[in-house]
Parts: sequence; structure tokens; C-alpha cells
Amino acid sequence: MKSAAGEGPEPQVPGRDQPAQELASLIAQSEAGAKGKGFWRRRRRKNATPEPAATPSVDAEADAKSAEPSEDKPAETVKAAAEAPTSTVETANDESASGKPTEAAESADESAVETAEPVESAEPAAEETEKSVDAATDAPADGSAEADAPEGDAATASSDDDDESSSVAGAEAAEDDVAVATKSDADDEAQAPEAADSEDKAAADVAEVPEEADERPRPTVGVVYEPDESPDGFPLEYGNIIVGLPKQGDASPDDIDEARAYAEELRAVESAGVEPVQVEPAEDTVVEDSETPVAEETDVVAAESAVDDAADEPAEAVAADKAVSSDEVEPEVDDAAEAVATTEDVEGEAAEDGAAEVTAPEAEQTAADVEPEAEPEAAVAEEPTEAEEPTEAEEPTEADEQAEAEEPTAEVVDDESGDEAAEAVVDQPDEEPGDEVAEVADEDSADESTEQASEDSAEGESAEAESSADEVVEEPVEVELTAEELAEQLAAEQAAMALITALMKLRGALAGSRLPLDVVGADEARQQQKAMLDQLDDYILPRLVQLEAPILAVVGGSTGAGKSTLVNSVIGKVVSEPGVLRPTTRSPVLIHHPADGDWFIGDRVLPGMARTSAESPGGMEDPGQLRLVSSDTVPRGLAVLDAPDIDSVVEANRDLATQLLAAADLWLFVTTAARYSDAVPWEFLQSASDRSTAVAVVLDRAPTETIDDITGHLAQMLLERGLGDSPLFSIKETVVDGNGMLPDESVASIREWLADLAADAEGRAAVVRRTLHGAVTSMVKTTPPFAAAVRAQGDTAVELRSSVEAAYDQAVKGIATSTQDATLLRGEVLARWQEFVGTGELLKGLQGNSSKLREKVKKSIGTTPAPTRDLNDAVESGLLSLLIEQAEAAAERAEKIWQATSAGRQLLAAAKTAPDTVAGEAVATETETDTELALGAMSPDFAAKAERAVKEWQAGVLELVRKVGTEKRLAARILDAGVNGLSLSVMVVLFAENAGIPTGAEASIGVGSAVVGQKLLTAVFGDAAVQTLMSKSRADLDGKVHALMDAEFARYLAVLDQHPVDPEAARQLTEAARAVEDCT
Amino acid sequence: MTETTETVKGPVRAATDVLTKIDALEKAATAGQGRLDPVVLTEATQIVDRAGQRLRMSGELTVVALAGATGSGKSSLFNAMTGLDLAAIGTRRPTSSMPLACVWGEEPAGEVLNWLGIPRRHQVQHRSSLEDAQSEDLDGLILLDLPDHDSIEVEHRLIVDRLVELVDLLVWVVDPQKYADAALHDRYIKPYASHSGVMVFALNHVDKLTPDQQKSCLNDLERLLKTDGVKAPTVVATSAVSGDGLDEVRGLLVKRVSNKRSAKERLAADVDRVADRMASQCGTAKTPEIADAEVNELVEALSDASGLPVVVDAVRRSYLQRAQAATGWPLTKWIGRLRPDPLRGLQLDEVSRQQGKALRKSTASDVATARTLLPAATPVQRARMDSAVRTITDRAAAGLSRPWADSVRTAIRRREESLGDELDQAVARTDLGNSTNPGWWSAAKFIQWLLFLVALGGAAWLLAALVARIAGAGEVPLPSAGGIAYAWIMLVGGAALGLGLAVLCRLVAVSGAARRARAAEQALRSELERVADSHIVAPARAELDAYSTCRDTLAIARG
Repeated sequence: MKSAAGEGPEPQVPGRDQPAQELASLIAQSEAGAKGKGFWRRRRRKNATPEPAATPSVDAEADAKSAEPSEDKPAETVKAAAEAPTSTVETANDESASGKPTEAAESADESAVETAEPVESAEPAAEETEKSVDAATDAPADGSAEADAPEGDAATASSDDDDESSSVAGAEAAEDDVAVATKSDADDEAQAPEAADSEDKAAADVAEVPEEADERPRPTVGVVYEPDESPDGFPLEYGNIIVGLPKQGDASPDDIDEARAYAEELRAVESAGVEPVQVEPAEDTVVEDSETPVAEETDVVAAESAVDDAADEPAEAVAADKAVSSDEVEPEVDDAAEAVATTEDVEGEAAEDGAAEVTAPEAEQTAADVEPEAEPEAAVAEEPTEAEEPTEAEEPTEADEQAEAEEPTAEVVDDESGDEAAEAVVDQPDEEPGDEVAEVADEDSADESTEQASEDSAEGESAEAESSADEVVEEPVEVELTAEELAEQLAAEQAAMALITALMKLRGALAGSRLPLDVVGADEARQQQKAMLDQLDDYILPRLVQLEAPILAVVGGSTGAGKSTLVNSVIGKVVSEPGVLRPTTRSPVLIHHPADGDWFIGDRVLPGMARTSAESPGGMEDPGQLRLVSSDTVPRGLAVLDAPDIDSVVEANRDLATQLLAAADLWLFVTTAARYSDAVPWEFLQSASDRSTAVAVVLDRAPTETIDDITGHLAQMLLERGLGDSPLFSIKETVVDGNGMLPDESVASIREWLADLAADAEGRAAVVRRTLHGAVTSMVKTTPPFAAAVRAQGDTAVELRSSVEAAYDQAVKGIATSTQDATLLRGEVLARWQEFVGTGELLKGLQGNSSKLREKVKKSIGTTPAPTRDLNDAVESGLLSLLIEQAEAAAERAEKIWQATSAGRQLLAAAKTAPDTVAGEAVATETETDTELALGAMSPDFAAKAERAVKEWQAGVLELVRKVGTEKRLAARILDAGVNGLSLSVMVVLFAENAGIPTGAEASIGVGSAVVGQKLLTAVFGDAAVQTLMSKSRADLDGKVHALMDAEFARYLAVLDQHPVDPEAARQLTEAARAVEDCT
Repeated sequence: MTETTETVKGPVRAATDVLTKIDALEKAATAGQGRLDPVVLTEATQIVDRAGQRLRMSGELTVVALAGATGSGKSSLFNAMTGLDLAAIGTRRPTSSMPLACVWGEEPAGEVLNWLGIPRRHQVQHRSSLEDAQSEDLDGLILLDLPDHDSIEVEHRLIVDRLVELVDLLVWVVDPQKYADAALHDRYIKPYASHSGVMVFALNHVDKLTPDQQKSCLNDLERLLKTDGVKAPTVVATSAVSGDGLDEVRGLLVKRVSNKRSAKERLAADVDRVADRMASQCGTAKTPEIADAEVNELVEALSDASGLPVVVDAVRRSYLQRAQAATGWPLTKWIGRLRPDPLRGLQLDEVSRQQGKALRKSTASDVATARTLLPAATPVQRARMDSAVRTITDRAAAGLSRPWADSVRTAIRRREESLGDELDQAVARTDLGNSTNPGWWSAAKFIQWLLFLVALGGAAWLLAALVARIAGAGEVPLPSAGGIAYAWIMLVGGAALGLGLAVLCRLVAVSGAARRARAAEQALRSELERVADSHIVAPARAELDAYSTCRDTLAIARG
């Protein structure tokens, strides 16, 4: 059990970390198997329904059963089997227990009891098979019945598993499971005995195994795109998935290793003396496998085991074994039946069972050895052929496949140890459908099969799992080599994965694109972004990951067009409440076949919508909920979604309908005679046409007398708008019956069309391909405009920034100019300077021969104004006002430029609200005015900052002069008294540094006075020192001005930074779109 | 046409109401120009124009339009109402592409139909084709069959959009399938919710519903309409096939046609609608007042910022300096000339002198003046000025709706920008009075010179006597009085008196300077007051006046 469970899931999780690999060969095998099986599975899945026709070729009887009943029959058979077995096999308890865990692991849905029952039934089957081997005719009947049951179980189990896994992880996961299962079967056979024993003995272990199994399958779930978990668009998980899927082998080995480890542990636990048990365990494991997905393999194995059992007849002894074996036995029974030819039913059932999962493919395979469609199958076929050689002993009255299938088994049996055989079987299943294997087994004469099986089983038992590894490895390699088609398949798969990768990247880029600025078209771009993301999440990605998921037909159209009535009538059951009040349907209803339920229960499609399964229409209608209704009147492989209207006053309906239609594989667009030329629906149809979405149009409520005219007109309109190839149905206006249903004949054509579509795998695939391709193409097409919008954001941000930068640059330059061209030397500064120079204060300070007495007298009288201080203040205030003026002007300029653009206005408004929230209690009007000026004026504390800066500069100049003076060894007294004057002279000279030719009288006065200062300074310090003084003071001033203006500029930057724009986003988008384009 | 004029001028109560409303709306729109949302203002102007056009035409005619979605049965209803098979009915959608008009009665309808833009070939005279006595009730009715508004034909929608604005009464024909279409409710009902008086809803095709369904359908339609904002929707269930509800519709039309008020009601509804929208922008707050105290504070701040104290001080010092120059003792007064005139330092002397002349000649206040050399306002002064301006702004905008508050602020700020220059100019152009010198200066100057000459004469006399004695000419007797020679008296007395007079004049000049400074301050202040008024207060008051007008006229327009 453990081994099976462990192995089963492992391959599914290729990318996951797993314990070290013990057997590289096993790994390789598992990989190969996984791939092969995966593809094959898919194939079969798709083909299953449509291909029943092929089955007949194989076995006429089998066809009948296999064709449709695949789903339904298994269940029934299972039940029947369950009943029978239960009575026969009492010992099954242990087995059932063991069987349950595995099942639980694999298929949570199925009740453990049921699974257990089949298992039990299987045991009897095994017994019977034995008998049947002995006595062909009688036994086959029983065996067939039983076999059916187990197979059915297996089939159901497999189907369930598939469904579940798909629901969880997706079809691929299911396939992987199958592959794993098959592999595991092989391994199981080898290891199984031990495992089974251990399982039987230690239920706890078993329990653990299932859990692991559960866990492992989940990883495959990871394959499924889960937008909720990855808000940032392109999480690592994707990377893993993407990397992992093509390289399934990597992970699978690990899994196998784990499984092995398990098996070993089990063995250890079991220890020796379990030989009989070994056989059984193998069976058990097989059973588990079969339960999982691979019914056929299990069958084969079961056959083998059953044979063994029959020989040994230990089946009864070990309940678990029996349970397991029962499944296996059934296949064997089938085989036997086939071989005997008496139990055709059995074959049919077997086929069906297999068919349950992939009946058709099997049929095809049997019919034509290597069918072009199923590459994997072909590969399988080839492989089998190789295998065939060894297994000549078969009685291949039937198709090659059977022969092949037999061969593999035979090979295994003959050539290699049981383990090998198991592996061979595994390989075959992997590469080929499990069904085929099963069939092969079935096809093989019961004797042969039994013999082989017995041999295999015996061998397998004897040669335990460990030995098998090498062989296993070899086999897979062969498979790969031989299967060119498989390679092709792989390539296709990788192409698909590449596309998914590209789309994921695109999605990441989309989600990562931010449009914070209100530039022209930003709103549209935001809507576009949401629509694109929705469609990627709702449709494209899930659909790409699971191409074989049922087709989703969304019924959309105007309010009052009769969508709900139509849906009800087509389904034949009231699932959506029609009414005369508009709009009627508010929450969408999804109707699917019961067997398809798993596709929709999870959030594969429309992950953003909660699911509800309320059966009755009406009640609490939450537009955010998707009501799931299962009905067997819906053809399998097709789901119908009744969407809300697209044009009523309820806006939520319109949005929802738009989203749902974007998630559809097929539109069933309903309009009426009164509505068919409405503008709104045609907008939708036009978009469908642009995206080449598959559309079928239903003209509802057409008056009988004019139906032809209107239909013609509508057809013409459709043609004109590029929808000429869309099917057009018209329904006459009639009276609905008591249930609100249209008469059957009215909707028969639609129903038939849907049924045909559902049954026609090719047609379905074509629809899906078309819509998917259209969606991807339109995604690629709409990305560049969106990227342009994103780019516009970046450009705007840069523009806004540079405009502000320019404004403040201008301010800095203006200050630099004004402090050099003598403009400061006027007014107060000039007056004070003249006063300063004219009163001889400067010279007095320098000469030092002024009598101290006089000074003292002057001071005591207080007549001496402090001219240095006056001049100092004048310089300070002059400079300060210049700074403030420039800062104000710069702020005004910057704000004006921003005001001129909508994005700038938005930013200004944001800047306005931001301080508001900080300001808090301040009176509304005041804050309003205050904040209104926020960016349009200098910052409130600029004046203070500027004053400090100016004072610092003045102090710096003073210090500089003092320093230079000290260097020059000026008399200390001069320094004391004259340093102020000298530093002021430096400033004044500095202000007139670049005066050039004075243009006005006043300016000339200023320049003249500066010349005086210059001469004075030169006289005191010397030319060179004056030069350094000047340049240092200038540098200091410039630095301070820069710092001040940068602080002002930073306010704008802060606002900009609140609306971050990624300049790379546009490029990433374009690249991602190109990558997607390359993949399509 | 004679009747038309009658209608316009006639003393019909409703008409005057409508006219008043329209007039008020026009005034409100004018007052709100540049302040309220231009889109709404444009609409208001259009409605005023349209109302003028409509009222100029015959008031005897009532224009009723059947509007609705394609396939709702407008044409069928039209035919049923006219009793003629005029409108093409079809199953192909959309059916009608041009509006069709049927006129009941003899009233000349050409002008109205022309205004509506109905081509002549789509006009039918009902009278001419039907001899039905019953139709007399409908004399004066113009029934229009409009194209659909929701089909893929965009032209149809444009026609409907145009005519929906013009007709007097709208009959919305809806059907059970389409009555909840967003195209109808979002585009035509919600925006015209105030027109409930001139809208009728006909739920057509009721023959396809069971009585129960019909009832719930009608209720639902009514519910939807109320959700749209239609207060009391008139809903009629009709069927052109079975004839249900046709009489009811006819009855409604007869009533409308006979009272001849539909046109005015329609226009009134239009005015109400746009006036409501304007009022929601305009607000109804009380007009704020600007208090004198605030203005005074502003002037204080302005005078501070404009350097008024500096100027006044300069005026004072200048007066003193010039007084000294004029009245000082001639021997020493030249020293004062060495000091520059403080006013000249501010470039206020020459300028103001010229300005004074220019002002007196032209009395224009905007004579270009050179900038003064007044020190720039310090940050503190500037802050005080700003805060004073802001106080007034806030006060003026207090309680106003956003657009008006904005307009007040903008108006003030627009002028505030030039406030600094304006203050400087105001100072510069103020006559500081230093161009004229007081009369006593010349008198004092004359006396000074006289005394100086006397002293000089005394000195010369003494000198002559001294020279004569040295030359040996003998003792020249100096006439004397009381033992002191006249020459000495002249010399010493003249000098002493001159010096004394100088001191006296100095004292007088100080008080004169103070007076002159006060006068200058007064002049400057009044000049600054003018600036404050013209730049801050007046713009704000103008906005507030506009607001009051707009608010009041809107109140009238809304009835």
C-alpha cells in the first residue's frame, strides 16, 4: 500500500524535493513512464467518449459496454461486485482497511466502504479466476462479473482519481497519477509484497502512505494555476511547475525512491515468512494502483497476482492481498474471459473499465496498433512490439495492442524477474494507456496470462523490488529511444509549457504594471489591465493547463432574451429561474455532468468566484457566487453556464457577464426578434469576432410568421461582422409549459448540436483551440497598446520630474547670476555699503590709528551706529529675499507645469490631501488654503532654513577671512577690528564678480563700490589670496543654495514617489507579449 | 403667428412663470460664468436659447414624441393612435430610421416642425385624412414617431438625442423584454428624472403577458423608474395589438393638448433640471462680509511691508535737512549739503516731484513710475502681509461652495501677485510734499542773509578802522552807543542773531518736519488703502456680488 501510494503520487510531483534517490534507474523509468502515461492518458481522455466506435473492432461486446457506460457502468459494476465479493470474502476486513487508506489517498470522494467492497470482491474474483483458469467457461462468467466489479472499481477509482486530481491539480496531474500508478505497479509488484505485508500488519503505515499520497498529488495541484496564491503574478511555484513538468523524470525518481524506502521499511517490518503474503501484497499494491488510476495495469498485475493466488490460493488468507488481488484478478478474469471467449462480457467490461477512463483509445489501439492520433499510444505500440518478441506465447487473436500488452507482461515474466515484469508492465502502461495493458492482459489467453501472471507474480514476489530497479531503468530507456512519437509528444508538451510559461510571465508583467498617474487613457488602460488579468486567470491559463477539461459554453445575451428558459429547456430541468421581471438571473449557474463536477468544484475556472451547490434556483442570489448544478442530461465533456444579462440596469450583471463570457470556450449568445439589432449585444459579438471566439447564436422568441425573414437578416448581420461561420439557431415564440420549459422540438436542434459537440472530441478540441488561440492572440494584440499606456506612465513621470527639476535648476542658476551681477548691490545693501565706506568705518577699522579715546567717547555717546552690523544685515536680508524669491518662483513654475497636465493635477491633489491628514484638527478652511499652496509655494520653513544658511555662509566667510588674515600675519588688532569689514567686502565684491558692463546708474554705483572693495582687499591680502577667498566663498554659497533648492525639489519628488512607476514594466510587457507570440 | 406673440406677451400666469425662470437662469448663468462648471453653464445657455425659440413659436401646439427601444412597438402605437397606417412596422430591426410627424388640427405647424427638423415628406396632416369627430380633442397635437435609441444604427440614437431635448411631452414606449435596459435608464431616464411631469411610460406588448405578469411587470417598471429618481412616474400598460391602454394614452394626450401647457412645463422642467445642477454647485450659503477691521489690519500690514515708516522717516529727515539748508546760518549750513537727501537715497525725491506734476496733470493713477529704492519687505513683514491677505480671503470665502470659494481665492490671488509692485508704485506716486517749501523758509533765509550782511558790515567796519590805524591815519573814531561801537554791535549782534535764528528755525523745522511726516504718512496710507481696496477687497467683493446674484437668480429659476 505504502509503496503504491507513495509511488503513485510521486511522479506527479516532478518539481518537488524528495529524498535521495536510491535507484536512478527506477527514476528514469518512472520519468519515462510518467511522461508516456501522462500523454497517453490525456489522449485517452479526449478520445474516450468519441472513440467508442473503434472499440467494437477490438471486441464487439466490449464495445457496447465500453462505449458510453464508461462512467456509469463502472459504478454499477462496482456495486455488483462489491455485493458479491462481500459475501464471498469475509477476510477482506484487513484488506479493506488497507484498501481504504489508499483509496482515500487517491480518491477522497469515493466512500471508503465502496472501495473496500470492490477490494473484497476482487478477492473472490481472484479465486474465481483461478477457477476460471482451470475451468474456463464457468469461471469467466463469475470472474467477469467480479472482474467487472474490480475493474469497475479500478476504473471508477481511476476516474475518480483523475477527477479529483484534476479538480485539484488538473488533468495532467491525473495523468501523472496514472503514470505513477503504473510505475508504482511495477515497483509494487516488486516491492509490493513487502509493502502489502507491512501494510496489512501496520495499518498506521498504510494510513501514512495515503496521507503522503494525498500530499503528493497536491503538488501536481501546484500545476494548476492559482492566482490567489500568487498575487505578484509570477511566483516561484510557476517556475517550479514549468521547469518541472517537462522534466517530470527528475522528481519522479525521488518519489520512487521514497516509495522504495517505504517498501523497504515495510519489508523490514514484515520480515521473512511472508512469501505467500508477498504475492498478496503485490496484489494489494496493484489494487491500490488500480484504484488509483491505472485499472488496466492493476488488472494485469492482479491477473498475475491472481494467478499466483490461484496457484497458492493464499488470497483468502490475506484479506488485503485479496482485496488488492481482486482488482487484479478481475482483469485476469477478463483476460481469461477473453481467452475463453465465453466471457465476452468480461472483456467488454474490462474494456469498459479501461474505457471508463479511456475506452475509446484502447479500442483504437486495439484496432490499429499504432494510431496516428495517440502518439503516446503509438509509442506504446512500438514498445510493445518490442515486447512482443519475447511474448510470443500469447494468443494474440486480438489486436496488436493486446499482443503488445501481453508481450510486455510476457516479457517481464520471461526475461526478467517479476520485478522486471512489473516494471515492464509499468513501462507499457506509462507509455501506453493502462487500458491497453489491461486489454492486453485481457486479450492474452487466460491461461497465458495466468501463467505469465503467476510467473511474474512469483518472480516478482521472489525477486523483490530491489532487484527490479536495474531492469526498470533499462526498460524506460528503451521506451524513450523507441518512441519517436513520444518525443514529438514531449515536444508538443514542452511547447505548451513554453506557452504557459510565456503567459505566466505576461501575467506577471501585467499584474506588475502599475498605472498610478492619470494620464490620458489611464482609466481605459486600468480597465484593460483588469480585463486581461481576468481572462488570463479565468480562462487562458486554466484552459491551457487542462486542455482536456470539459468545454464551457456560456449562455449570454440581453436581459429578457430567454437565456434561463433556454438553458432549462436544453437541460430538461429547472436549474435557473426564468421570469418576466428584468433582470432575472443575477448569479450565474453552471450545469455540468455529474462526472465532470470535479473540473468545476475547484477554482480551475473563474477562481475569483465562490462556489455554491444549492440545488434549487432562486433563494439567496449572490452575484459573486457560481452555483454548480450537476445534471446527467448535460452531455459529458460539456458544461453550460447561464450568465446574467449584458445590458440591464444592474451594472454588476453587466460586469459579471463580461467576465464570464471572457472565460468561455464557447458563447451561446441568445438574442430575440426584438433585440437582435441592439447595439450592446453587437458590441459583445464584435469583440468575440475580433478574438475569434467560438460563438453560436440563438435567435429566441421569433414570431412564427417572420422567423425566416429575421433569421435571414440576423445571419446576414453575422456575416457582415465576421461571424458567418457561427451556428445560428432560431426558436419560435411559443408558450412555455408548466415548468417554464420550451417545447422539446424547439430546443432539440440546440440540444443535439451540443450533444454532438460534446461527443465529438475533434470538434470540441477545435472549439477550444479556436477560442483559446483567439484569446491568446487578442491578448498578444492588446498588450502593445497597454504597454504603450504603461510607457506613457513612465514617460509622464519622467516628464513631471524633469519639469520640476528644470524649475529648480533655473532657480539655482538665477541665484548664481544674481549673486554675481551686482543686482544685490543696490537698495539697502548699497546704501549701507556706501555708509560703511563713506563714514570711514572700514578704514578706521583697518588703520588702527584712530584714537581709542575718541572711540570710547563715541561709544559712550552712542552716536556710532554699528555700520558693519547694518551692512551685514543688509547683505543677509538681501540674499535671503533673493533666495526666497527664487524658491517661490521655482515652486510656482513647477506647480504651473504640473497644473497643465492631468497627471500633474492628480499629484498636486495627492500632495494636498497628504498634509491634510497630517494636519488633522486644523480648521478646514485654513488647512485648505494652506495645503492648496503646499507645492505651489516654497515650503513653510524655507525662510528659516534659508536664513540659517545665509548666516552660516556669512560666518563661513568671516572665518575664511580670519584664517587668511592669520596666514598673512596681519596685525592682530586689524583682524579684531577689521575682519568684519573685510568679510563684508568679500561679499560685496563677490556680488559684483561678474557684473560686466553696468547697465544702470545704480548698478554702476554698485560696481564702483565693489571695485573699491576689491582694491582694498587686494591691498590687504594680495591678489592670489583674494582669488582663493572669492572662489571659496562662492563655492560655499553655491553649495548652500543647492542644498536649499534640493530640499525644496525633494517635496515634489516625494509626491512623485508616492505614485511609483516602473519604467521597465512596458518593456517587460512587450517582451512577454512577444514571447507569447513566439509560442503560438 | 399673431397668436404666438400673444402667447409670449400674454398674461398667462404659467408663461410669466416660465419666462421669469428662464430670465433668472440666464442671469445666473451670466453671474456664474467663469466660476461654475462650464459644461453646466453651456447647458444653461442652450436651454435659455431653446426656450426662447420654443416660446417664440405657437403655444397652441403640443409636440408629443413616442420614443423607445427598437422592437418596442413605437410605430405600432403611432399607427394605432393616428388610426392610420403611416409608420412602417416591421420585424427587421431597426425598423424606423426617420422621425415621423402627424399633426392634428388646423394650427400651422410648419415652423415647429421645421424647428424640430422633421422633413416635409415625413409630415402628415391628420385632419386631411380622417373625418373623426373624436380627433378634434387632439387638435394642436403633433405626434412624433422617433427612431429607436438602442440599435446598432448610431444615427438613430443621434436623432433621438436631439429630439428628446425639444419635444414637449415624451412617451417612452417600453416592452416587457427591454424595460430594464441600461441603455434606456442610464441614458434617458436618470438624467431627466426631473421631467417626470412631461414623461409618460407606456409598457407595450402587454398582450403577451398574463394579467399577473402584467401587474408585476408594471410594478417592477415603476420601481425601476423610482430608483432612477422619477418621483411620480405615469405608467400605462398598452398593446397596439389588442388595443389595451390606447384610450388611456389618448386621454392623457387630450388633456395635455387641451391645456396647452406642455411646452412650458417642459421648458420649466429643463430650467429646473439645469438650475438644480447649478444650484448644487453654487450653494445657498449667506454671502460673507468683509469687516473693516480686517481691511484695516491689511492696510497696516501693507504699510509695514511697503516701507512706509522708512519713507516717513526719510521725509522727516529730508525736511529737516532742507530746512537747515534753507534756514541755517550761512556760514555753517553748507556742511549739511554734504549729506545726501534721504529721499534721494530712496529715489523718492525727483521721482515724486515728477510724478507729482504728472499726477496733478493727468490725475491718472497708473502713470508709469520707476521703482523706488525702498528696502524689500523683510520676511516678517511679508508674512504679516500674507496672513492679512489670507484672513480676508478666508473670510470672503467662508461658507461658500467650492467653485465660488475658488473663484474668490483666484480673484484675490491674481491681484495679489502684483501687490508688491503695486505697493512700491503707490509709495512712489504719492506726493510726499517735499516739492514745496514752506514760506517762512525764504523769510528766515532772507533774515539770515540780512543778519549775516550786518555782521559782515560790522566786521568790515572794524577791519577798515583797523587798517586805518595801522596806516597811521590816526584813530578813526568808531561811533558807539553806550560805549560799544556800532561795528562791534553789528558784527557780534548779526552773528549772534543769525545763529540764534538758525537755532530757532531748527526748532520750528523739527515740528514742521513732524507735520510734514504726518502728512506724508496720511497720503501714503490713503494711497495704500486704495491699493488694498483695488487689489484685495474689491476683487473679493466682486466675486461675492456675483455669487449673490447667481444664488438669488437660481432660487428664482428653481421656482
